[in-house]
Amino acid sequence: MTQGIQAFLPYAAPIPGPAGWIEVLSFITFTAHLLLMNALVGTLLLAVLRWRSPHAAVRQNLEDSLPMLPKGVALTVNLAVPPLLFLQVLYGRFFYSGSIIQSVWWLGIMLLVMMAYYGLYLAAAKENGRRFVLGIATCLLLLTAFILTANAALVLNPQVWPNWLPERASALLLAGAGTVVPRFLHSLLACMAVGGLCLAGLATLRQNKGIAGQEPAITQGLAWFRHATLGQLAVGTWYFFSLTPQQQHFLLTTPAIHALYTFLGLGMGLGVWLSLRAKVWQTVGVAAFLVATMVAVRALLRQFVLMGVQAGSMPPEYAVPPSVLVLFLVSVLGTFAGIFWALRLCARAYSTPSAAQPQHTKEA
Amino acid sequence: MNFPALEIPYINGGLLIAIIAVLHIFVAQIAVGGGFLLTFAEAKGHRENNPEILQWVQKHTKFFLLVTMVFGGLSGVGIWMVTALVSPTAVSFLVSNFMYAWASEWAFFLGEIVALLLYAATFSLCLQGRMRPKDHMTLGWMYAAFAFLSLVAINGVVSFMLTPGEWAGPEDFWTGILNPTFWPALVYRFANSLMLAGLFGMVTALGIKGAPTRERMLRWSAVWVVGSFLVLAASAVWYAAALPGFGPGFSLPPALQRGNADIRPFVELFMVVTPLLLLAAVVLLLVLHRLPAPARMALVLVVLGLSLAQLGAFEWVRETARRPYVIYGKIYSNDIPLEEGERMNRQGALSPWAGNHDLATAEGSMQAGRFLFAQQCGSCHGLGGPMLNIAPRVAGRGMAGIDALLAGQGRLNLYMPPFFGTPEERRALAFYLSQMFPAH
Repeated sequence: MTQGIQAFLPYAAPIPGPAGWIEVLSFITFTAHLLLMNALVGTLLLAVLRWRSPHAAVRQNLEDSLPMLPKGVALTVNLAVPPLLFLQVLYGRFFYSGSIIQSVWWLGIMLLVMMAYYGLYLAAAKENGRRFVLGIATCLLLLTAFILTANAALVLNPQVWPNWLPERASALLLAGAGTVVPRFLHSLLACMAVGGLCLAGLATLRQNKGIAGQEPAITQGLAWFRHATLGQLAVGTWYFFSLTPQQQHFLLTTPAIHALYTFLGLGMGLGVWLSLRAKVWQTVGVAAFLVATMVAVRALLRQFVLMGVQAGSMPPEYAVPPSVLVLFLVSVLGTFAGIFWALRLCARAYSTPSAAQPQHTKEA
Repeated sequence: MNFPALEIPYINGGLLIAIIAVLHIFVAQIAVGGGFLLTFAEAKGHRENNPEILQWVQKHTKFFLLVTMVFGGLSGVGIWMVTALVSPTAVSFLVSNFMYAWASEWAFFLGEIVALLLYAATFSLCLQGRMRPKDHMTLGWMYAAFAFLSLVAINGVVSFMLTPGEWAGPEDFWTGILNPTFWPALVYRFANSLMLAGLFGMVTALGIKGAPTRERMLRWSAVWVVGSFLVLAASAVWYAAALPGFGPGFSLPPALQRGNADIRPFVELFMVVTPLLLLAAVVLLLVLHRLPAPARMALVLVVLGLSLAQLGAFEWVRETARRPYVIYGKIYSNDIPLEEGERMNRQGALSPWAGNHDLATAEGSMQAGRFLFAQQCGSCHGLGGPMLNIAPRVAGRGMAGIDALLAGQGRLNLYMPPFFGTPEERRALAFYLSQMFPAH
């Protein structure tokens, strides 16, 4: 089968090597993107599902999170750019083919996110019809997540590409249907878990500031994390059995994956235990570790599958001039330094007492 | 090559790119100029101790958040997505050779977003005296600087597509980025950014309630428009002179002198709209304060429309000046690299993505022709649709006429890429088109 599929593979452009360095960059930036995306969609889901919570603290914290959501979209979209870029550099021949097959669905992502983005601004600004707008925005973002999941499944399963041939104009969304649903549910549960931690984290910050009555929000947020994380056991098992026998064999027999699964198991147990003991920040740390570990498992599986398909026609690598690497590092480090400095400037302003005299008063 | 060929009914890839690209560039350039305009205006407000100016800048900032960050940010990703579907080989070529320029652009855009969010969030703190104006304006300068740097990075990649110059290969990064049109394109785009920001300043300044401040800010914004227009006009000449084939006696390069329907009207539009824009800008500066309110808004909106037309014409001319390439001298506009075209001539253009079809049968020729159209024509031409519709170009010519047309492409008609493939495949495409469009 793999040999037949090779005929469908486009030529690969050279990789600005070393490829391992780009995999590392992809791992870091994709983990950051996923964490932000989980926080954004998870908070949004909670805001929609728990807006009638009997606990005032839950309602209040979720309501106060709303103005943060559009900013979250801006940063989530921005952080999607580098992993998408690195994916194209490493596996462009698979990614472009899968996306072309998806065609209008893939293109629709931009419009869906844009509408959700404006919806979140609207919901944060106006109370009238807020739940309705939030519900629509949630549906748009979930549909986006579903298309992205289907895209990833399609890219990872070149064997299904020829299914597209009989009716080329039809957009193939569910070609990898076997893995799409559990994979999507896996993402959804991750969003709920991280969303719960955002609620618990915000409530803890407020509690530390001396605002009373935050306990229900902390307890509920941690419970969301715990239940969603335990739900991953069932969905993860389903996801595993939806993979091809070769992929299952790889996951079962590769020592690096064994180590990562051990970390995942320990991390899940530790996360649940910490959440039961109401250790919010430690649970947040464990959740970030779990997301990073899952990204690593995913990257290794992708590497195994796609390297197997393109064995014998590996993309060549070329040496990047040092000055170009310097440009990149200076750009990234300079930007982060600038952002850090700007955040400090703002933190100082926020800690300045509000009783200070206004600078500009309207002249009579 | 050997990617599946994108087929979207009615709409061709070029139209998709044109719509998203022109709107994105319009909004993104407002963002670049806006960073400078906002901060200079804020400095003026503090210097003159004028709360009306500061409130105006604050409102303007919200506009930038909603339009430039939301629409600009997502449509920027959108261009990338749609281009990757229409021209995957070209995008693959660019990300492979200029990955670090792209990655740097991402970092700058992250800085731009964060700086704008912080600038907007702390505006009230500044007005309340909880943040020093100097500190707040520093955030504004950061926003301006990051936006400008993201323009610098992406300009290197985009200008390379038109003028690769002496670029020798993947290791020759800097020659590719600092290509012959890098500097004129950068100055042109930056001047355009400042002009557009000035125009938006005028639109919003019309809403200032206090008459003295309103008049002052209108004139102030008009100075931005006129000043940047002069730089823009000079850099347009510089840009044209940097194009390959620019002749003595200031004759335009052959690429811009073609009579094709998809370049000539846009060159003419650019030539007409640009002086009109100057005239309108001068009118704005000298006469605006004498006009009644409705006429003012109408005039400013007309100028804004002119600037959109000018930007659209410029970008379109820049795109079409590359024809028959999408990356000049390297990849044809239908996404076929030069050496791949030669291979297709020898071994055939029908890849496994076409399926197995017997070209000796009518059904097989129709199926193969459909694939060949999507592969070699679909990135510019639509089967119907509003842009570069293939129907009037082939209808009624018959199979032999279309076959002759295809054979002449790239030989007689240098504007179009040649047909790549075997003579049988060319005839299959001609058969398909003759069946699809038998007569007018």
